[in-house]
Amino acid sequence: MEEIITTTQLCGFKIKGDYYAIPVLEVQEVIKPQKLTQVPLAQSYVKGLINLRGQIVTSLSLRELFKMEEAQTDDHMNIIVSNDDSLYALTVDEILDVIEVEEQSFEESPETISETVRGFIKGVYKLEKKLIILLDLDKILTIDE
Amino acid sequence: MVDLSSPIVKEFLIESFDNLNNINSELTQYESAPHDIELLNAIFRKVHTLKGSASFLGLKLLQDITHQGENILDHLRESKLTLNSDMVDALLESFDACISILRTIEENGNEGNENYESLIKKLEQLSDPSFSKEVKLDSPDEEIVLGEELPLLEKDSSLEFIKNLDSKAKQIPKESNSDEKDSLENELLNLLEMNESQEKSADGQPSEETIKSVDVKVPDRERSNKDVFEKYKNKAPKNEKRVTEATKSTGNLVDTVVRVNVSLLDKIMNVVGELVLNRNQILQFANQDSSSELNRLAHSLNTITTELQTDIMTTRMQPVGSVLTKFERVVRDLAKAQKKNIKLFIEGKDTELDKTLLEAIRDPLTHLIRNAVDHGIEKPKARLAANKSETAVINIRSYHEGGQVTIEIVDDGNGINPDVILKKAIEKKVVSGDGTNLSKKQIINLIFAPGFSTADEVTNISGRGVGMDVVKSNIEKIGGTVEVDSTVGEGTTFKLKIPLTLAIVPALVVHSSSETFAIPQVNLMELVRIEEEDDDKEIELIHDSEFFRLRGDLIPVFRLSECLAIQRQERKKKDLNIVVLKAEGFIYGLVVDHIHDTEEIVVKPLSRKLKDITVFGGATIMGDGTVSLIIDGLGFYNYMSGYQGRKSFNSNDTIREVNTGPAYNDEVLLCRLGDDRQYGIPLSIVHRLEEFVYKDVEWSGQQALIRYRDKAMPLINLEQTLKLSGDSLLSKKSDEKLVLPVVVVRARGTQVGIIVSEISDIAINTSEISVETVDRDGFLGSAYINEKSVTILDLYSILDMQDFIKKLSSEDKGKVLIVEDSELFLKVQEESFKDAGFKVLTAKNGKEGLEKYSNDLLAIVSDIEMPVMDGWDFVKNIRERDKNIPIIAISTLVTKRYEEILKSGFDLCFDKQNSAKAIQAVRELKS
Repeated sequence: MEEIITTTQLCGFKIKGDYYAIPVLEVQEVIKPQKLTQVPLAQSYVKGLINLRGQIVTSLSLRELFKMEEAQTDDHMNIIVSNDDSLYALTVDEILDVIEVEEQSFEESPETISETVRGFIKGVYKLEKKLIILLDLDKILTIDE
Repeated sequence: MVDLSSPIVKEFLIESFDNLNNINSELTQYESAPHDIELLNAIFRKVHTLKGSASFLGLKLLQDITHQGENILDHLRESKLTLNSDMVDALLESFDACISILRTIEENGNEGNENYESLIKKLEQLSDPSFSKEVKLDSPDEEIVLGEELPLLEKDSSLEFIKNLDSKAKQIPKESNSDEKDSLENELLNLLEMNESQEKSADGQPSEETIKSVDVKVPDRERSNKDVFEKYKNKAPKNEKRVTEATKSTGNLVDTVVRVNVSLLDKIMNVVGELVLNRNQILQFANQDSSSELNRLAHSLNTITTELQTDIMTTRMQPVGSVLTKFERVVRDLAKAQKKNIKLFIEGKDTELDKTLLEAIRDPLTHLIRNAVDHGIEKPKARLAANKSETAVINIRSYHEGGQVTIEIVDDGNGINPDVILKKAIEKKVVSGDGTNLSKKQIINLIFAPGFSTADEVTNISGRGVGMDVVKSNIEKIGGTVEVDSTVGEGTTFKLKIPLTLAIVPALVVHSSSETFAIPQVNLMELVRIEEEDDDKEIELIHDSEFFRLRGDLIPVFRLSECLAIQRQERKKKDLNIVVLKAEGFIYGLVVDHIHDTEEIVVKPLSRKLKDITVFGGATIMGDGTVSLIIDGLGFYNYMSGYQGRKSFNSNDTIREVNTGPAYNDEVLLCRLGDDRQYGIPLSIVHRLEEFVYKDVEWSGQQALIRYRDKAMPLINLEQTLKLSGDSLLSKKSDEKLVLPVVVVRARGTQVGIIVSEISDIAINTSEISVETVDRDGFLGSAYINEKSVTILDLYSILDMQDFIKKLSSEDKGKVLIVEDSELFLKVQEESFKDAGFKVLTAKNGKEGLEKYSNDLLAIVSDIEMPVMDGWDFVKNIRERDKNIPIIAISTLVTKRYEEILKSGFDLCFDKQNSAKAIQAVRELKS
């Protein structure tokens, strides 16, 4: 019997050396660091507001959200995603290529992943040389701490 | 005759032409597909709408034709008739007739003189199901002629119809089958219904008699028909509009009007918003550039964009009248149900408002109007008893004001009684405590609190405890405000301020710690600038909160950068910019670093993640392309007052723990002297706080003097006078540039400066001053302020120790009784009255006051809040003994309960800051 191989395309990126991804269809675009307007009184992971061609984008730091220390350099990238009529920019360290993964390589979140991150991920794709963590965008964009 | 300039007529014409344009093709379509019920319904609806509008506007001819058409269509719907080509022809003919009548109306404002009798008759016959059963009837010509001869009734179709029915009834053989009877009865019912609805639209009055006569039974038909007929004759149509000079309309309305989907308008509006932003950016860019060509282009872009923006906004504008006129009916029905006489006046129906906003204010307005009728207006008897006219008046006014639309609802009912509101509020636990700290305005505003209703009896109209809070939140949702003002016995005014449009608002741009914020002009009242060298204006402290005196009113002041936790700046005196804002009737100041220009900003919503931060109403993109947050005046105030509320709640708790007696409210200036200890000076005698440079001090023998406001003012070395350890700054002669903090005090008829090492704070002393610890002159006692023991200085005795004070001649101007529970304030008052040459008796509460009362007193000065016996009881007791003695109240309650104080027997009242005025008043009594 032949196994049917279904594949998904992911947008991969790196945060603090680890590989993460979100479905490529969720990504509107990827932009360079932008001028930020601080939002006083907001959660610490809200980095500020960006003007994206006349649209207001709320920038969220994934490092801050995952309780990691902030990157030292300004050399980050913004992944623009939209959710519920609002636009968000997820700041990540580095953007990787679009990765094609087989559904069969997916596995639920391993127990060993740190508590602070586990709530935001759906699972892990096991590739030959590395693991790619699939983020749960809905959870990231709807948490209210 | 209709008024062609009326927007309703225009709308009617546009709609009718539109409907009739399609109806021909629809009818022919239906003819080829007679099973398409939907299509038939659509045609029926159009004719029905046209009939309804025509009857509303009093267009009889049009109404007659459409009525017959409608009848045919109705029978078709109920399958009483089957469509045949005769019907289609007749219907099409009737539609053509309608169009030609509408054209005439468009040109002349009247229906024209064309005779459509034969058409109507044809339609009538066709619409009669019995007719198709070959029940022939002679057309009663005479009666139609009769109808024409009755100008009052016009050619009322109902009349003809009844006549027709009559004649038919006569002709129907006794043994005619029951079907026919039924159909006749149906028709009669139809007719009655129609007439009823016509009635309603004509004068808004459902006719009870009409409804009753629906019960008419077939055997009595002849007579009852006559009855109905008589009734209509009496109720000759009132809906005939006053004939106004028909204004010649220019061109064909249909050709000049296009119906546009609102969502498309919304989209265009958004794009224009973007364009406005873009223009702002280009303008800013052009200003930096010296190229004249760019400047010129930017300028013309500016003009064009502004014009486009205004035009687009105009397309969405609709007169508020379309909502307001509905209230005529609402008020009428409610008033009738409640047996109240109410006249409603509506002004400014033409004021225009954005369509979405208009929709949004409909429900809140309805609620306010219902409330006015239900709660506000009294029953006629009560009105007569209160010397008011039996007929109440409700005024609805709408007008433009300051870039907003204001809608006022004014009734002359019994007003809102703050006492009742407060009682209810306490009962319902809307406020905690006894609410004595609330001003009248705050109390009235409690009606907007969730879960609040005051109607003693819950009626089916209002008073279920939901409502006003919803009204408020709905209005605020669209960026508007609601204000309420009420005088007991005279009426209530609600003032709604609605922004013209949602998307683009004028806003003030401010800077605070290098961040830019926009403040919508809706909330903006004024801008105040305090210069560093400005002596008269400054920010004052009460506890840790800052206040500013705006023309005598104390308003809370917040520092934007501190509140938003951007950066804590030093609160030292420098040039300050205060933006005075108004939200929900509360006025407060916002200290910002810089104030820029006003700008038209496009409000963009914040993402859901940030929606919880109520301080911000959205974000916008500024001319330079950066994003700025928009400060929501109300959200900010709520955030800050919530924050302050928590703070004061805590401090209240500590008061209760420390002191079970009444709280004292003595403001004390805290300062530090050479021995590094804290001393307090009663703030009521402090005139100003100043700083002098050491080298400006002049010496006259041992006495230090300073030139102050063109006078030599003696400076007091407290350390020396009071023989304290440590040296006064005055004794340190080392540094010429040394700055001396000086407390300027007015007492004993002179002005002196007291040199202190440091002025630390102003605090409120809530504890009792213990006098036991006093071991020498110059001290009043010690108090426990901010968890520290502070020695309170007795400045009068200190002054008495000074050589330059001339001992006042002990002239006797009369005896004054001072009743005051605060030791400190009693002392201050006693000394100031003594200074003024009065003899003073003192008492610490009302009971002591009564004991010390004698009939040789010149006047009594009393506090109100006191232990044992308070001022209210005291004044009552005194008045029983002596009706004429002047009694002056000095209390912190004055601002809140001024009238109450004067009613209770006091002749005058002053707040504690103005106690000097009491002396002035007593002095005037004397002379």
